[in-house]
Amino acid sequence: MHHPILELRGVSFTYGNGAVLRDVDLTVREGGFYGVVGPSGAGKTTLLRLMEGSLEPAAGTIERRAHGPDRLRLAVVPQLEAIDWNFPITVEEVVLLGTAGDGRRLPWASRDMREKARGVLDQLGIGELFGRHIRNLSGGQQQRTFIARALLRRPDLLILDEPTSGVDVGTRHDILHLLHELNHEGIAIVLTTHDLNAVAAHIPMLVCVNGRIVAEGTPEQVLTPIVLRDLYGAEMIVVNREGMILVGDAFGATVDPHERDEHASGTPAAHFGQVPAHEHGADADHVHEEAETGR
Amino acid sequence: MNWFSDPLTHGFFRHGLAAGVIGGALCGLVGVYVVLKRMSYIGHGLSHAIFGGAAIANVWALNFYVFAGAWGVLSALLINGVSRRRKIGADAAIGVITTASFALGVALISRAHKFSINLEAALFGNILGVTIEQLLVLLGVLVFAGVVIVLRYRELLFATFDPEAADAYGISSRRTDTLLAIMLAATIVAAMQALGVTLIAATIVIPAVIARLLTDSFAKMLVLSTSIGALSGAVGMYVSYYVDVPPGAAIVLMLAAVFAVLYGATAFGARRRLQALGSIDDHIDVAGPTVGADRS
Repeated sequence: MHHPILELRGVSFTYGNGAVLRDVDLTVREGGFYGVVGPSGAGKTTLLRLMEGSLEPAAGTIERRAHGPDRLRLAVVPQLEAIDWNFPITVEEVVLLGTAGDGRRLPWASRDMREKARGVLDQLGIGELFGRHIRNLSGGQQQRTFIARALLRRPDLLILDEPTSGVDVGTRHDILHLLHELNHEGIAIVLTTHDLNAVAAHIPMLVCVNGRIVAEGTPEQVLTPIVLRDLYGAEMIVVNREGMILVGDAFGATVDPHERDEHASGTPAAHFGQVPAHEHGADADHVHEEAETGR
Repeated sequence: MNWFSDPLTHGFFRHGLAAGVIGGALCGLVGVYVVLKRMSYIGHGLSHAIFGGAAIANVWALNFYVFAGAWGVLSALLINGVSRRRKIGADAAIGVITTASFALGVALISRAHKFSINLEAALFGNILGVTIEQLLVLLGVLVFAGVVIVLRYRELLFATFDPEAADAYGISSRRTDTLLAIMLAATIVAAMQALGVTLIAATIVIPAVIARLLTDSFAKMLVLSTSIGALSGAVGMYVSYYVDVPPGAAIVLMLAAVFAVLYGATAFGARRRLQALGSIDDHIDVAGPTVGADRS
């Protein structure tokens, strides 16, 4: 069992108008990979900021423990929306900021530091962009730039706030694949996201937050209609198809992979194409798997 | 007659020129952080807040630099503290604290019936009457700010660019905010007698804004803004001498004119480049690098 590197015990937090988080107990283990999910305003970003240390809990304790004698090394990748993209700074300058807290007093980077920065950028596949202004990057490149800044810090724990928001499906896949690789190299990762299907496919441990920890465990344990209804206050359909978990809205879905004339009119289907129980003729060329709705 | 050397035969002009160059460089240097942290209104408000401290120092015969400086730092920290609370934005915090401080200064002066030349200079600036002592203070603050920026360059850059993540990277955003507040307050106190409360904000903000239009590099922006500030101080003094307008007004008007020309030129250049590409997308920013605007 990997030892805990970050422990929250009975943590509560408020911005002044009622508690945003109440009585949170959470353990992040060395080399773990955690996805924090929950509705908007559930306290996901607040939870990350408590983990980072940029917010202090109103109640409870947060312990950060490193494996060796040094303090736990944290690195943060912010939401892209929070960045001022007109700030006069290049990709290389952003990446070199990863060592800004290391106590070097000279304003310019050493040759060694610059080589390391170039190495990390090459590793992430954006080595040729080092001199470019950050405004002139795609969403995926911007995300990789901030991940490169985090990696230059050689973190024990990497915290990412919605790294897959605002990017296309291909970029989202690339980013999650990259995070997997980094996790395999031993870096513990905690990220927030709204994309339940992506976390189900890529992230081994989920933490469901809605002002408190609603559930915690593997996607199989956590992504159930009952937990999701408790979390989002809405009915969700969950399908486990050959080990792949798919989550969709139970209402308002219109996509039907079948020929429409095979089915009774007005039959709703899930967003990912799974069709809830419905009837069709005996000569239909398919059968339906059970879609679990929790109703 | 030599247009360059003739004014230098006057001692008051030499002192004024030195104050213009040193004060301009100092305001330009500190202004980069003020503009990039979107604190331009703080620069304006803080100069008014410090006037309150200057009035107290004047009425109670306290050391102007020590008391007004401490008052300025306190005001800046108070603004930071109040604006950290989510219910009250930074602009509202500045509006309350700085105008209250300014009003306190006006009330004290009115009660004491004491309005000295120094206080008038603090309000409107008196660059031609600047003393050796004031010049040395300006130079000292410039050296202080320069040393702080060199030694804390990367921390200040991080905290200015991405303050939310700074603490996680071992950089105290509270400490860097305090450091910037001290630098800004010291700059305003040192330059106040030369440039005046009413004009000092422009000399802090405009050089940095011009520099931003010229470069996409933070390090170059620091150098450019400092140079533009110093140059505008020198040129403004000569313009004032020959056109017979107050030096502070000449410096600010010249900076504003340079900004207007550059802004127009960058917008025109961007539009030409887009036209050359064959199409203009309404969503593309044609004004070049923007300052103080959110990502669009």
